[in-house]
Amino acid sequence: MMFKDLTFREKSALVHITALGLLLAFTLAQIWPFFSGYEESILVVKPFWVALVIFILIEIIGHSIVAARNKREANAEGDERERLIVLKSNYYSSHLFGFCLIGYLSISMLFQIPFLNIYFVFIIFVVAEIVNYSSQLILFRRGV
Amino acid sequence: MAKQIPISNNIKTLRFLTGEMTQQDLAEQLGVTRQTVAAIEQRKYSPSLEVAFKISKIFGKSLNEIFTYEEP
Repeated sequence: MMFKDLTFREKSALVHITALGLLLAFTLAQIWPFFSGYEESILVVKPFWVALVIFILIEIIGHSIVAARNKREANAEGDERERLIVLKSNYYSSHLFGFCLIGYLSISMLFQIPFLNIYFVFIIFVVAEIVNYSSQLILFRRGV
Repeated sequence: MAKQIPISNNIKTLRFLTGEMTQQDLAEQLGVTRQTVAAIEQRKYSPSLEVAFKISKIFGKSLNEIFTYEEP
């Protein structure tokens, strides 16, 4: 399976996965010192904004290139099959997001963690989005 | 591994018999994408009733002549 053989929607999903994967890797690298005992490092928020800007740039540039090479498909509206795939993928990711978030809140309450760590919630959201677009890619290739 | 739905069809043959119609031509008449027509032909997607009736009308055949349910 070559990149050029993919449809616009599949390429778009790949761009999303790449951008989100990089964002996840950066976030995990940022919070890693937290587990090593250097709790101060988690307070540094500035690099996080840089990562978000880079994420948005990857999304814009990636989608512009993909859309320029697949003009016809990019301008076409999604049909019933594409809508079904998006619906199914959203179903999977929203369940994962809800399950992980409720799990995290329960653990926080159970172990008396006094604050909701925004990084963990953000990681759960990013992972859920990666699952969403990966699921779209699989369903586009495998069939609904 | 591609998932196969239990409904087979002979759309590819009917396209060939109808002036060698392309997937793109059929897709435009149905109002779906070419990928969806390919997915229906390869038994990767079960079309809605609306699309099934449109296919039936385009080829001038009944639904039973185009689609066959095969017990899994």
